[in-house]
Amino acid sequence: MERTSSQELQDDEFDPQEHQACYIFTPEGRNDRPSKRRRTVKSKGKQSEAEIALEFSDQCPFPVLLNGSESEETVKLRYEAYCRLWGEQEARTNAILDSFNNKTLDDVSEFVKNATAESYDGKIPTALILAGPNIASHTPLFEQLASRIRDEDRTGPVVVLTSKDATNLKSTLKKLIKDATQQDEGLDDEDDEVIVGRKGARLLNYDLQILQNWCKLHEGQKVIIAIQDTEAFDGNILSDLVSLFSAYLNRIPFVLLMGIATSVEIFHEKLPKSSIRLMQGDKFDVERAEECLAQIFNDSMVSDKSVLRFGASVCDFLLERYRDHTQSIQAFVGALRYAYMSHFYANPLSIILGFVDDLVNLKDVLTTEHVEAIRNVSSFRRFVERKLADSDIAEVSKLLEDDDHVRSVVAVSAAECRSYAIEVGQALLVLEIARSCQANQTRIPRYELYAKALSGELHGSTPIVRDLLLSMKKMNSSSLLNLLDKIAAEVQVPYLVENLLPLRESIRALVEQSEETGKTTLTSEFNVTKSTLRATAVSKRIWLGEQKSSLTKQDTEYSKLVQQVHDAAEAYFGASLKGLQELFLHELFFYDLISPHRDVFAPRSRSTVERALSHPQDYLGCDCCTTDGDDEEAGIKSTQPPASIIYQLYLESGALINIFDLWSAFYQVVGGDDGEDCDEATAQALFYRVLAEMRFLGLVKYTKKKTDHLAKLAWKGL
Amino acid sequence: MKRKRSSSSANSSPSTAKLPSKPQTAPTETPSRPLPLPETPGRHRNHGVMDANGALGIGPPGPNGRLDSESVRSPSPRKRAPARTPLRRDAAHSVRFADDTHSPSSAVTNADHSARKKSARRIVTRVVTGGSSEDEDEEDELARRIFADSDSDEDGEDGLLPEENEASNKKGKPRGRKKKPKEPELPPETEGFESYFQQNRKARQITSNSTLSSLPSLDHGRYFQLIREHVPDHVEDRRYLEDLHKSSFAQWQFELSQGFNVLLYGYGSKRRLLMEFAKQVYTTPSSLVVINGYVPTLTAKDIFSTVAEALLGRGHTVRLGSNPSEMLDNVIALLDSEEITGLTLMIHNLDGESIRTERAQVLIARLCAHPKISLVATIDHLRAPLLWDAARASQFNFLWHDATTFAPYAVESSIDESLALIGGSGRAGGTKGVKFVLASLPMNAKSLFRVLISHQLEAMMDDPASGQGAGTNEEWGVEYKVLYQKAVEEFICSNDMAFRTLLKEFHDHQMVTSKKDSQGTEVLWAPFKKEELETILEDLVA
Repeated sequence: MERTSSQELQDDEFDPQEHQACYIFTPEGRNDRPSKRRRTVKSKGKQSEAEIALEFSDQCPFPVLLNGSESEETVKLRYEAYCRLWGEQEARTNAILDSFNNKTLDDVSEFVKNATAESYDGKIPTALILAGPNIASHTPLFEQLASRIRDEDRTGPVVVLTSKDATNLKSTLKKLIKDATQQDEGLDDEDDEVIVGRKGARLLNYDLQILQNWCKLHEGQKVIIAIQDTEAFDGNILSDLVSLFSAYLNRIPFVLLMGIATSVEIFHEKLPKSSIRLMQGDKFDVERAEECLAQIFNDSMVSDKSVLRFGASVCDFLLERYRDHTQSIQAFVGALRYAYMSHFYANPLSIILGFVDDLVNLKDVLTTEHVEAIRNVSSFRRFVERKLADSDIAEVSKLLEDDDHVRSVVAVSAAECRSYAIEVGQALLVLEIARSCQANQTRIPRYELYAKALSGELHGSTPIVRDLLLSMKKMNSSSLLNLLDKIAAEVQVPYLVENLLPLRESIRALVEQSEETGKTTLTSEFNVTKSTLRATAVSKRIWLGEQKSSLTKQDTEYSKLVQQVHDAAEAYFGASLKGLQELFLHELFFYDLISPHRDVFAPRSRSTVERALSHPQDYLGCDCCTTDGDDEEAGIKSTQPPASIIYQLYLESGALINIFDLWSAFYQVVGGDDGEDCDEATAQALFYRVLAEMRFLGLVKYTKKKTDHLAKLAWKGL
Repeated sequence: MKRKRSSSSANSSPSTAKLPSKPQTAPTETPSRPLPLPETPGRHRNHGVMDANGALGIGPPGPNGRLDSESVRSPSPRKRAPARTPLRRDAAHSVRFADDTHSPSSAVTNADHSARKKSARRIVTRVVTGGSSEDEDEEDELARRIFADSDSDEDGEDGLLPEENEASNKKGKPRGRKKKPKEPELPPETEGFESYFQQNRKARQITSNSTLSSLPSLDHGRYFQLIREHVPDHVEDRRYLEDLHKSSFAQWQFELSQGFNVLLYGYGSKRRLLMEFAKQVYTTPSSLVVINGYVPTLTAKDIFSTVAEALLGRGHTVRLGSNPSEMLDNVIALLDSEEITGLTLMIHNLDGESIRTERAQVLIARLCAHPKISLVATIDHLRAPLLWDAARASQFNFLWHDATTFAPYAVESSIDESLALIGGSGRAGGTKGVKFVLASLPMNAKSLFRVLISHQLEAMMDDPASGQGAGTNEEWGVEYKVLYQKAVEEFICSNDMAFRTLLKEFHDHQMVTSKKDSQGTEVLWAPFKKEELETILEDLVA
């Protein structure tokens, strides 16, 4: 065994491809070198997501689960379910993203169309595009802008400049002129014409005269200069550019687009006032990322269309990551996609999700193994225990023994899960609407509350809901009607329709009545201010009495109705906001495995390497290096891989390491007492190899501070 | 501060009580130390103080030199590997370590004294004005440290501070002899930011002066032979790890198909693993391009031209352009065309030194952001994730997977530098390298080198002490002027300029070292051992 592996090592060393910088891979033994390969054109046209999916259904990428007993058919079904459900979700998500982008694009393209120097007092028309802190989205945004203005509106060439292009004014201008004049159709024939100056001399390639000539040839075209990352731009170059543009403005119709990730104030500070004065224009707020996130979240988690949703912990994790790290919608969508992927890839029961709209046929699909798997789900256990608590013994034994019964229960529960999710979503929506009707409330978007609602932390008596209910009680008639109207317009919850609408009608009637008496709004008796300056209890009571008596008869009646509205709402929130723990099969509908996401999106690569080196036994799981119990004094063992021995010595040393001392320490560990464990030459070779590796990993570098010393570069556990 | 913790009654006049108590403290300390070093009690104890207190090394030097004892503490497995280490290392090396460093000059000492005075004053005023001593602010902390090298366990006893400080201050006695009740000694911090500060202290940076010259040299051939003969450890366990990773190939493939890219990290060469994966991913010819990021000559242009070759077939005639970004634009245009279905890139070491530049990463990220490109890459450098800012990271769209293999970086890491550095005293690849360099030089240069080393050898022969401890050769070096004279006499060169040009070649290949001695005369010598010089000379005259 050992022989073979060192043999392999040897083989590796003589692979000629190893040291070739890059090459086209052909596996050994398949020497199908494509001679003059012209790909046979398949009339595939635009490959849509669905087509690819179809193509894939032949060779399903999903593994066979349930210890290999899952039938091929169900694997395929699972894959189809994934493709269908994610396809739907993705389409909706993309639609939202597009709509957000489109608004900005429309505005900016409109601005560019209308911008002329004349309409801006002879100053450069400038659009400040506040694109938000997520720089990952800037490039696509500017690409979209460019293609929109250039190809759809045909307003003129667009040059996107990034700070990387602009190391100095000359190269910036060169790029600018080149991009602007070549973007258009056939440049070659008119090339000569453009770059010849007035006196027939060839112009330097950074002379804006070229652009001017070009503009003469293309009457009515504007030259749009988009500066993507204004903050990173060198301030001097930027202000030079601006003054140049302004000087040429009468000959070249420039329009400037400035991408700003921070704020307009910072932009103002960056440029001298003289440059700022040369520009005039508008500010375009790219739709707030928060809003976009809220919409996507609402669509994917709260709306009734989605099937798979996040559970509380994954949701918390992703939102926190969004807030604290990425600020990127794309990352969130990626995570959403990954949730679908990992759920359907690894959970055999996810097949049930594919049948949410077709529960009748679900029974035929679930095999005995599936049923067995369902019995292993933790919510099944809770479900059975609950039945047991209700002394429903017959049901319990049926659940445990009768597969068909389980199948039918699953169908029912799946529907329940679905409706639960929808209910929670609606409740959150109602909550949001109701809260938005109150002036003094800070807005809390639904995505903040969602996780709480699922984990059962949001219910009828949490402060947010209680405050809402209390303030509802104090509302006067007009705002309450306003609230009820909004709710009725936005949500179709049978319960609310039944209970609140009649109340709304009666309130409206009451208001009409009182209008006859000249009073347009009715106040609730609960709104009577309890705070008063009166000190004594008696005088307070008298004061309150006065207040109360000032209420009209209609007011009193209104108050009764308000009480009813309040009760109805309270009952509604109480009923629909409850945790999912009680729900059978919630594991399937709420994806709540946090570790896959954490591993692939927020890895700790550095500590992984450090751990592998300092505790090799964690990975190798070998007996020789594993110590039981007493970790502290266990320390370095000669059986550990050489790299980890040296790494541990490295950890103990100071910022400068004497190589010779490191070597002797290493040899003492490896060589055993009299050096019989390993001969010195081999140890030396290993030592060199490990040193090379350490340098490769970025742990040390050679230093000239002292002969034969290494400088330490990394400290563990930072 | 430790001293007052010991017991205030016994120690009311600390400085007098201390010295006599020294011998007794040693035995009490020994048992609790994980591993006693066979040192003199004085140094030993001093050593213990160092560890427990984490001294800044500013205090006045004690008679037997705290710094000396500190200098012994280069990396040692002493703490962890009981029994075998101490004997060996101290027997072998402590002689060399000891007394290498001299005590700080008196000016430094005075400065230290005044720093101590100041800090003592500060502490005193604090206590007098009744500032709460429970929570010290940074300055006070510093003051305390300067004063007494102690940074822990002193709260609650501050009441005793003033008089004690003043006492010791007035006497100005060398401190550092402290009797302290034994407490379990904490091993030095090896993790987290604390260790950074601890290890970057002046005192910790002092290392022994031993060099690698006493190691037998090892050339490439011997090295590879040894490595090949060496039976690797944990073969079974590594194979198990690798199988574990292989079992997730299907998952990676699925992830690739869903538009994500895969990034593998973790210790150990992931080359083999990735090539295995390549075999699995491989479907049609020219659908997979392998890029070896660790190859030092790799450029972004290579990548693009290979990609284009894979897309168009070998020997295509499409002009891609000359500069990388132009090439990239063309490649992306190729990818956009409908007949292309997709391409998988496997990049070994996306953090390789040749493509580590921001420019290269920007280009590669743009290429990989194309939906038809699937990327599987590996990284090894600890700080590799810092290569990508948010925009880059979102273009790469990576899913990270831990693929720790523990396989040696046989191909990726270059052993050359290690060998060059450690291969005896052999610079430029040892004597062999010197031969190569000489072979490529003109006759004049060879003669000059011959003159130099024969002079040096002569001096070595005359000196009976040579041959032992091959430390520095400068004592046997040749004066610049003398060498120049010699060179002129032998018609090697006619003027100083030419002489310097010849020497520069040697300097560049580290074949000659020079130094100005105390009188300002420049001395030149070849940094090789006697035997090595002899072989070189033999080669030269042969």
